Amino acid sequence: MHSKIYELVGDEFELGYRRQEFWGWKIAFAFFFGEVGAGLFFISAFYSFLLGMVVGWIMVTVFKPAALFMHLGKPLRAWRAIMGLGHSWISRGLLASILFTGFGGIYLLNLYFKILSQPLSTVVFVVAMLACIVVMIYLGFVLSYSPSIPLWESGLMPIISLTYGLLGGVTLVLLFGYQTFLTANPETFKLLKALELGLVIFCAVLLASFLHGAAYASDAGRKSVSCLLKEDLAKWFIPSVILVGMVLTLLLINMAPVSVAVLVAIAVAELIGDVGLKILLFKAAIYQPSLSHSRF
Amino acid sequence: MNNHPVQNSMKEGKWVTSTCKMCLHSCNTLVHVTREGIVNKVEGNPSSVSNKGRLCPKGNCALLRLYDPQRIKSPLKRTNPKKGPKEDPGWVPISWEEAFDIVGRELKKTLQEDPRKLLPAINDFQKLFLWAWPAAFGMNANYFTVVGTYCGGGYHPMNGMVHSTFAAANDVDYCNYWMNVGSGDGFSSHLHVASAANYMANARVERGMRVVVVEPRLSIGGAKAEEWIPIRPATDRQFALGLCHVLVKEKLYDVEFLKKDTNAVYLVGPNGYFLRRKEDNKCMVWDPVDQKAKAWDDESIKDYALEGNYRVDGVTARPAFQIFKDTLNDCTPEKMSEITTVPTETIERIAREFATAAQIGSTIRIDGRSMPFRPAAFNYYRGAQGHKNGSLTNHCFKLVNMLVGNIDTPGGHIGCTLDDQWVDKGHVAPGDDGMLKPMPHQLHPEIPFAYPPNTTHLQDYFPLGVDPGHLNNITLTNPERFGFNFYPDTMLICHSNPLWNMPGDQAKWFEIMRKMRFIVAIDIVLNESTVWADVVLPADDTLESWNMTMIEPTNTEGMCLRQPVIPRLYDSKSEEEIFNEISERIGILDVWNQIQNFVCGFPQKPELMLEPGKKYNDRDIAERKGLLWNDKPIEWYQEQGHAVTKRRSDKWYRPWEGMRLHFYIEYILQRRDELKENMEKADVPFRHEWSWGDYQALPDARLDPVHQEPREYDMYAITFKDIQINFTENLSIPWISDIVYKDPVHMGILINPKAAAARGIQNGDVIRLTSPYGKITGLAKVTEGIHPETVGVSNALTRWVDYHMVIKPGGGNFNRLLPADLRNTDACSGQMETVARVKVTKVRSRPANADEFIKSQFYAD
Amino acid sequence: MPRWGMVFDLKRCIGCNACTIACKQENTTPDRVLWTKTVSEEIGTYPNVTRAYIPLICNHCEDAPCERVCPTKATYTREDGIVMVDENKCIGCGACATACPYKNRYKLHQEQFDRGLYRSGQLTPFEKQGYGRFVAGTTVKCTFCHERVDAGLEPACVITCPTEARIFGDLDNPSSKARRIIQARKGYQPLAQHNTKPKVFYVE
Repeated sequence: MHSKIYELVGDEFELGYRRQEFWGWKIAFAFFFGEVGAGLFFISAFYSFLLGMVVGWIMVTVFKPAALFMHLGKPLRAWRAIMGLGHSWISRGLLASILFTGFGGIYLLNLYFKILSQPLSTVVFVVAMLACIVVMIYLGFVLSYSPSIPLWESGLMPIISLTYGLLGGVTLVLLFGYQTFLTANPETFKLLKALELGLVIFCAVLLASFLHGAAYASDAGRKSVSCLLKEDLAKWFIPSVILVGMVLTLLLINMAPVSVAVLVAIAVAELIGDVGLKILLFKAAIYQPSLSHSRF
Repeated sequence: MNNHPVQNSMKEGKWVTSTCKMCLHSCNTLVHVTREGIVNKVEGNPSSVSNKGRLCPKGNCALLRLYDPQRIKSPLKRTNPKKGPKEDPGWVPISWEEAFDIVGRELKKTLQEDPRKLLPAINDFQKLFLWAWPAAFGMNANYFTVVGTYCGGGYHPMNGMVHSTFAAANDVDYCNYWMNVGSGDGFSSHLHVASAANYMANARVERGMRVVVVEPRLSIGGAKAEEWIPIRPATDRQFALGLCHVLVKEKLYDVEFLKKDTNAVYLVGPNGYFLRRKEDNKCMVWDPVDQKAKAWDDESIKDYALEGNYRVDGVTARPAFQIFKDTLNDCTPEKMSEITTVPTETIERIAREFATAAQIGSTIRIDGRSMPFRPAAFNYYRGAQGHKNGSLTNHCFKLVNMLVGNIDTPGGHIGCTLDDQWVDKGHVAPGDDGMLKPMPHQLHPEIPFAYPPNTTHLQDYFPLGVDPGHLNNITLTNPERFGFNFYPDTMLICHSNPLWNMPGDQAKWFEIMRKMRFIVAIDIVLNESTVWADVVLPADDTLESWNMTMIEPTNTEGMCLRQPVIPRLYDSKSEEEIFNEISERIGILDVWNQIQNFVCGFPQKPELMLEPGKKYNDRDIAERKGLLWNDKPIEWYQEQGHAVTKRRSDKWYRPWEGMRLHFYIEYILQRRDELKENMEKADVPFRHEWSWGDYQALPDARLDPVHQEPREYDMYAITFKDIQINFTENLSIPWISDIVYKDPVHMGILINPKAAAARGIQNGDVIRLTSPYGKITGLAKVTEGIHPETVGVSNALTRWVDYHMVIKPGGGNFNRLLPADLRNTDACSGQMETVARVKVTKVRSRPANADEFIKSQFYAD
Repeated sequence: MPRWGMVFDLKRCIGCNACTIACKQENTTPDRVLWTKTVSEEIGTYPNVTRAYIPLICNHCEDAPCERVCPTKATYTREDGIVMVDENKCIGCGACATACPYKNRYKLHQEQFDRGLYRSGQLTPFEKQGYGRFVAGTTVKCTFCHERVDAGLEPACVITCPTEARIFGDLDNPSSKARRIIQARKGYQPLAQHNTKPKVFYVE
């Protein structure tokens, strides 16, 4: 396919693949909290499951910015990030997060205090839910929008973000709802379990398509995939994302008798897979050589 | 937004003209000083036709040397009496008064006891007159550093004998076919690299000059060349002889040049000397028209024979050319191919291309003067010439050029003067029998024969050589064998790092250093050698001091001024002040002034001569050198920065017009026999170890002894520099270490994938090179760009200090692999072998803390 | 209004990295920040092998992904085409750095200013006079020496290049040297497939 595959290089003056180094675990956690929190809110909202919605809202409103602030070089200027709505998915995501925090918060207050009229409450709910979806999905757009990293440059990125967000939401609703509203709704419990199962399998298919696509679209993408599956990152990717995040999660859902402990284990396994994937998507991000005399 | 500029060159301030000293050459600079008095930008001076406003990476670092926190900030005194590579000297700052008291007292003691007991290592190339200071010190002629590793023990004397100059370069202004053999000229090293690289790039791109590079390693030049020809190390002479074979066999030589401008037509008798007419001792030639031998200057000569055997005065004589032709019978391309690994067809093709490009017979008119035009030239330097048979090798390279008639000719191979005190053509002088006078001693006058020896490095026995400082390693550890009637106990190190640059057994060097009663060092940062000093005297930085110089520029000439751009940052002094003060205290100031007069050429304008009893500082000397060059006052230089112009063509091209060049260097035989006789007379015990075969009037294809090392040492190790580290220490400057240690060729020991695979070595593994003389350890860098029998060790990997904050010890000092002995020293030129035979073994795979591991191996080795 | 661009003549470049240091000198960029640099590429196998030296710099793309993804509009393009970062607006999110296909951006860390070039904790007077332009935590990159350009001078890397491998000029001006070289020697852009429209061209 390619006559020459380059070496990975660091800052040496040698042409080769270079790793992305600007985004790491901090921003991975920010997106993780954003997506899972939004997913939790989103799924909980269908069942008016207040605890889930509150926890989801807190994850998006508190945890996510906390992680982001740790990441930013100049956190006190973070408000400026709203300036680029016309072109930047980060700005759009920020707007969605603010809308979600605001409208989601009002909606939650309203559930408790019942201060809004029905139509107004519906509007608030719809805006909060739309913002929630954007929060779940926008990392995918952030990554796939820039041409720099062949691994990221995939139409599947937003779907992966969304799916993991929903999966995280379902996982946590199962956990938090087990001894609350789900006790009274065994059908819902079954449905959510089936959804969890389906989403994990769907994630597996998505990831497989994504990696396959990346490996055959470009040589740098191939190098990224090779890093994840065979080289230095494989020792992280295979255990966390595949074995724990997918295989273990699937086994636990299907095999084990339901208990709080098992649901905690499922949540831990699935979330490890999620956060692992996010970190590794950043770690495995590889730039093509800027100029090549022997690649083609 | 900010109204004040943020870019350094745009800030408010002034530009001061100066001259770069980041290598030994003299590129012209402009230095920007802010209103607050801070140097914040050094650029090339666009008014100079040398570097044309451009600077190499080193030149771009000058201000970091100035502001280097590692600079010596005041005189230092050692408090730890123990000396060693790992000993903390326990420096304490002292006043200049105290420092001069100590140095004056100690040196005076040495001077009074025996001036020969001083070992000087003075290597400031921009203040060359300092090299002559030991001469003021009771005619001391010791030399505790080595030119052979830096540049050329064989190179400079041969240039002196052929061109009457210190260096030589191809004529970039007209050359169309440029061969670089073991040399970085025009790309990465040697003469005025920023200037040379500029002229070279323009010649290549704008004029389509073809470049052929012959080297074991794919150097920068090799990468840029039309053709890289990998060659087995230390076989460059055999390659050149292969070229000569083809040129002579196929009659691709410049007959007219050889007949009129060289001694190739002089008849040589059976004893190797020119045949001389009995009545007036004149050299003879054969006139084939009249079929008789005539004196070389006989006006009746109708033609000169280049070839043939003739009976003259009862002996058989051959023209020198015929002798060379006979020698070449043994140098067929096939045979040379076996030695060099360069394919036969390549040798033949290159020779033909070279001769075709030389356009033999063509002429050119420059400045109204019609001259031969030979736009093809063979350039070479350290890598190619740095071998035991340095003299033969250098001579052979000159002969490739002579055959096509390009010596000092437009487009050809041209001699370059050093620091030019000869304003006019004074560097050339007529010698005997119509020949150019050989000037092998370009750095200092010849050291006369003496036994017992007066110099620790045996310069007494190198009438044609340049200071084989590496021999100190054997003489000072076994003085009885060499019959010394003194033993040195004092050392003066000035801008030099002998422990780093000299080859040979390191333990012996340490032993020699330990024996010193007193060591004084003058420098601006410490190094591997100066940490052994008892007193260290801080010199001014380039940007704080005065100087006037022009160091071996190629196609330009003219004095270059260095002037202080800011006041001294620390309690330092100029070298002139330091040496004056020491001289005064030990009572040699007047002699020192006389010697400076001589070395600087001031007697040419007597009003410039230094007077006895006075101390002349750096500005005074600079001013005089400027006046000597062009009568311009120092203020003129301060304004202009330099007097650089293109070389005047009458001095640059064929300044010897009317004299004959030494094709056949009978002079070498004369000096050999004179030395032999002296040695016999004085019954010098080691005279039988002298390899007299190194003295030849013409080169041959003999192998250097490095090829005869035991078979187990199955690879060759070479060392190399690139443009970032061209001459002089600078790896302690962060910007330089930044770009050097990131460059793949300086990250590890270069090894070809085939050689690596055969030894189970992978990229990044820790490997060991073991030669018969020493070993070093480093990381393997597997690269296709190296001859499969060769490992390449960047000079950047050879430092071992760890007190410089940004130096990365790695590889170990290459010089440890080299022998410092007579067997591997050219008895003629003093050139040492710079290639080692090694076995290469894997130590282990790359450890996590590779740098630390490599460092820990340094003394373990 | 000119449209500034640069041409790298790969036939001339010798990989000496004088440009790299001239830039650091001119701009006082801290340790580990290299707005331009020259890398090498080994091509082929012994003995049929050569090496290319490839200068890299911010390409000042017409359609700059860094500008597009910047959430704060800190990255902007001047009228003359120079892509700049406003250090007073940048929040250091790193989006521009990840989006640049050429990896030509650097994020500044306070530690770089504290340790200094000699990594000793002592700043040289040169560093002290120069670091004021930077804000730790923000992202920086090559500015084509905008102040020099405004004053009619060429960038520092261009004027120092020993081999004249860097040619700076107005890409809109048909008689500029840069434009003529691109056309005469068939210049091409780095990673042109990304369609970022670099204003940097290479000629072989």
